[in-house]
Amino acid sequence: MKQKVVITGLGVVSPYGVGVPPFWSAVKKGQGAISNWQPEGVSNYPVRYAAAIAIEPLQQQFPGYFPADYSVERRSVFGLIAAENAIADAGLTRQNAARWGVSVCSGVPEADDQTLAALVSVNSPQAALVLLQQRHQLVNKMGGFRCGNDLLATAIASQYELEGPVLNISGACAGATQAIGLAYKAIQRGEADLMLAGGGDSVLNIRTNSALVSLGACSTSQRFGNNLCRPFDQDRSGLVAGEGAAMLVLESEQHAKARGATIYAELVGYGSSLDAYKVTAPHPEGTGAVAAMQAAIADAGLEPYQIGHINAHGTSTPLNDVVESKAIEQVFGAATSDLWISATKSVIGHWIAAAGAPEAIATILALKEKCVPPTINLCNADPDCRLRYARTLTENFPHQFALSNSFGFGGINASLIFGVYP
Amino acid sequence: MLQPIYLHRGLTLLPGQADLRQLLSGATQLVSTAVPAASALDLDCHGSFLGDVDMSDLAPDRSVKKTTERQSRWLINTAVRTKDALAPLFSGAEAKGLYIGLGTVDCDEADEQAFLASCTTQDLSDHKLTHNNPMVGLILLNTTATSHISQMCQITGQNCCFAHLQDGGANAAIEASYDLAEQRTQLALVGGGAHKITPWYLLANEQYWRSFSKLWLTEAAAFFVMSHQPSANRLLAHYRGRRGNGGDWTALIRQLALHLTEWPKHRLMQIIISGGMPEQQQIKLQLQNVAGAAKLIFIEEGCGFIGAASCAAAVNLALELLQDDVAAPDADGLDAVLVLTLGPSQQFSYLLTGKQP
Repeated sequence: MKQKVVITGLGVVSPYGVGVPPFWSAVKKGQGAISNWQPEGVSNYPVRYAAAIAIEPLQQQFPGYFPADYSVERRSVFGLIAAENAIADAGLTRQNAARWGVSVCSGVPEADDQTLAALVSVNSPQAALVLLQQRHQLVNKMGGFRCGNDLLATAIASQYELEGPVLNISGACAGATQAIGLAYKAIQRGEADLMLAGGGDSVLNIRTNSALVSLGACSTSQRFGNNLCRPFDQDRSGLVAGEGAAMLVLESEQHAKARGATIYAELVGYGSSLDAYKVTAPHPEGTGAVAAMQAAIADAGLEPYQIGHINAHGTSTPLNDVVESKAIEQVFGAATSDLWISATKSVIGHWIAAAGAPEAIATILALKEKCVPPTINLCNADPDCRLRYARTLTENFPHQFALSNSFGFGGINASLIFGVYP
Repeated sequence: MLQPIYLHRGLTLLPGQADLRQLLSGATQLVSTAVPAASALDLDCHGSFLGDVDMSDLAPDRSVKKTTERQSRWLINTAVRTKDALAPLFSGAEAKGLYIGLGTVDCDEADEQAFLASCTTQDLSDHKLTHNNPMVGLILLNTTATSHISQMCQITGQNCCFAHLQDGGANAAIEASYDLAEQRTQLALVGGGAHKITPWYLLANEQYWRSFSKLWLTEAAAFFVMSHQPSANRLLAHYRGRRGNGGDWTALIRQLALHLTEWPKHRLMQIIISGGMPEQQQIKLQLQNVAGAAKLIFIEEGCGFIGAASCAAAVNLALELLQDDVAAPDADGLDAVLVLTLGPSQQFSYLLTGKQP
């Protein structure tokens, strides 16, 4: 018999600080996190805006994650702090952790920019390795070279002495949503009682960010300043990167009720699909997006009209926003006009592999507070984006179910459905 | 009623087109050479290298050619050829899923060894923005291989790709098993690929490598298929868990013993272990009560450490052994083989496969 899966803890590390309250307050108010940005030590870098996290306050608040005299991989630290935040929010202790697991996303491997700068000055593999090693000796209390993008799941498992599944998911921009979906399945089938799920990511380093620039994925426009991230707007010009981590505590309802946990919402459905199309663009008819949403709705045992709000992937890229809008129309048909659509990325930027995690949190809290957060910077909707977008905070909107979409590079698609917990 | 899940043997790509069973028997050997970068890390490390693979007969489209490098091509090549070899299974299943253990893709090596007069981050930024291949973002993204495989195999269903090392490949197999059992998919193409042997690979896992007394890394990829369409070999059980920070064996042994009692007519003939070299003696000790007379096979003894390819390679080997009735010819009952993966996260995973009752 399938277990019901509920959400009992939320944790966030965002440009607004640590914890859900500043994050959710900003998302509801439409207080954008995007501002002027350049890589450290670089001027005239073409990307001028991002939603970056200030490290110094984190270093002061969490000195244990920032040992003196060496830098650590941003994403893993964000993820560990977010996990700690979520566990505290859930009121958990480490008793009975035998049936706890973890499921988080991986991002593209990064390397600190000084390392790469040093590397390009040598022309032998041996010399390059010596330089890498010297850098490596300064980094990472978890004992792995900071290029590894898999440390977070292992680190969380070790820190909390977990004995359940340890899942590290590579799903591009759908990674965190897939991580949450896999955690849901694990609890549903009884493989675990509790799963920490979500992830952290950052592409605010030269290596990865320049690759996105070269691909034409990032907006390099300076036209709208901090209001550059404009999902569904006719003047959108590409993704605007953000960084951070978000973690959710998923539990079986039985386990949660037995310990008297406060329950935010129920996770009722998950679907994933592949476009099987070109890696350079989504399927023009959104077939993969349609399939993921339909799979989630079927998994939840719902009809489309029962969904009240969709937290869209909404990347502010020319292709995604049109394709996603079309896909939503196809799935929801006549019920499309009753849907409210929001795009959290307009406020917090695109957290790449981790994007689905803060967006899941926004979806859950919108459900709980009977509202729909705003999609900011949507001034003139693209004529091909014909949905009902919430441009301001829409309050007094009780809805039973909400869906959150994530569509990754290369056509990896994932959708989650959350429901009000009575 | 739960539909049985069957395993279908696919392809394992090893250097020199070597056969894993022949390697393990000693009939053939992989060529291995010292890895130059390893000495800088005081690692005793040899490597067996795959060259690039020729996929021209698979007619990949232009986007595949422009957004792959040799590591992703090993994966794509092996996946697509496995699918081609098992084509009737694919045409018979409407819902098809893809589950892969992926390595990370590291630097564009040639680019980053280019000589510059100075090495500030400004120089790096300027260099990258000037010299980047426009597709480098997709080349560096390990899930680009997933996209290509889904396109070339026309797989549009449930999917998941996992890191890290052999945990990635094992989680791919376990997740596929669950999705089939839960009817989220009807067919699963399952596999994984090793990371190319580079300085980055050495450094990214340096802590883990130090648990090996002698490190032999091998470049490889492997895939197999799971489906509800009958074959000679059935998936009898699957499980994963973590052994705790201390590497405790209790849960693994208890669960395995339980699963073995559920198939009393099956006789466990082999236990194929990947990721077990650092704990080889402990494994023999811990498994001796539950394994009975089963032979323990440590695949790294034959092919070296192949990371995320290891679970699928072990499954292919298991299916080959079952097919060839490697059990004593006069034995009664049905044969079973256990594929056990031990990962750097302390996760253990196993698939128990055996002759269809």
